[in-house]
Amino acid sequence: MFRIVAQNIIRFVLLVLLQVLVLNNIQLGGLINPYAYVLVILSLPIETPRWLTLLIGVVLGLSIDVFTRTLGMHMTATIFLAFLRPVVLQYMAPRDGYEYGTTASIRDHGYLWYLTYAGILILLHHLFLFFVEAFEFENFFRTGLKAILSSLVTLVLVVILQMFTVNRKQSQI
Amino acid sequence: MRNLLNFIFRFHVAFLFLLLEVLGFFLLISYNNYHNIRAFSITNEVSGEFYGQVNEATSYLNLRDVNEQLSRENAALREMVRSSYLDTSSLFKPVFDTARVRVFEYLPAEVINGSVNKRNNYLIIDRGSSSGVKREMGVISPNGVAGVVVDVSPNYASVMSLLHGRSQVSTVIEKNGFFGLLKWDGSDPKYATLVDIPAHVDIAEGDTLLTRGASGIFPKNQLVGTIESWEINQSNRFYEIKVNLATDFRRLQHVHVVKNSKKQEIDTLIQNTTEPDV
Repeated sequence: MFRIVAQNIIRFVLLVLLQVLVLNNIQLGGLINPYAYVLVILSLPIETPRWLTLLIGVVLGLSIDVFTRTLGMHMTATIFLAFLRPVVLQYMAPRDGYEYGTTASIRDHGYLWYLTYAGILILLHHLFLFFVEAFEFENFFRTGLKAILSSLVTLVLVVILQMFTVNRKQSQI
Repeated sequence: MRNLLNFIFRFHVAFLFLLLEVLGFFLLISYNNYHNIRAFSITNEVSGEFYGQVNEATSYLNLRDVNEQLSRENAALREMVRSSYLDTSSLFKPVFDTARVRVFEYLPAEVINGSVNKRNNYLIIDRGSSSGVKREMGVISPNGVAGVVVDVSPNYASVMSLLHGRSQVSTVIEKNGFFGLLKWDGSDPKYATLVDIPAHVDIAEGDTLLTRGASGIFPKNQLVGTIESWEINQSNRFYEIKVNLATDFRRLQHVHVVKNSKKQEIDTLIQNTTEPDV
């Protein structure tokens, strides 16, 4: 139990640092801003209570907002993500339910499952985030395109980050 | 009560989610300049639409007064037209008066919502940027000046009325040309205060006060009000004149937005003339 909590806290810190120090400085053609910090929410234990997921979402979103000086922007999007994750997990559960102790990862559920799971959640998070950022529907297609392209890059990043953990069975980032 | 608690408990995650999102959007709108402005202009548009509908329904009740007011204004205008003056000059009779350029244009608008009982009062009018209304345009009523446009959305605009803590109108006493600033102390929507007139100036009850047209927001010589009473501030020997406002803000409905085509020129000049801090 303690190990899982510690693991998640370390992952939280590392991913927030990765986001604010590296990824926020990447802007490919003004269209692609990847937000890989969502992996914190995606990798929480499957049994995490829904209210706790929401609260972690608040803290995560606020941490990113403090560094980007956009108070509330990542917060609303991350709460949205935290609200949807249990829903998507439930929808994608294997016939017999999740085995106790498995995590939402490529290692435990395979590429197809993970790409669908992470793809849906990342896309919804990014759409929400980019539309909150724009705060208008006038450039609907441009905002949508930005969200979709950024989601793809984030998805690739998230899968790469997962690979780091596949080899090291015991300690995940 | 028990049912309510059950209900809340059953959907506690959804409630928590909504609560946190509301909090998030509150932070978003209060701490991000861009989002704040967008939200303000959206709410302006929505409330404008709503009050527009309400006003549509209630405007019939005032038709009689409005008609009377308009016919009075008509009569006043008729007195001003050239044909009602006797031409006493036999030497000059210009046919095309190219010496006069039209500077002010008037756009009729209707007040769809407004307050008089707050410290800072605003009027909402049913003309916005799509009709060419911009910030800092003057708004006048048939009786006198009313306010200045402070915010514009596509179809509506909010007007800071004279009944506002930051409202300052440069006002001149008609009979002797001394001018001061008209302010509102926040108590009575019928009266405002004129300051900066030195105590040696001769004034009388009922003297007419006009706009000075200093900043180009209002045309010159628009009626502001009449002198009701005054006190002399003993410490600096200036009047504090209580002004009976010409515009009745409590029943204001038809107004004109004043567009000054030379406003930008005036502003640029004023800005350039301000001496730099040395």
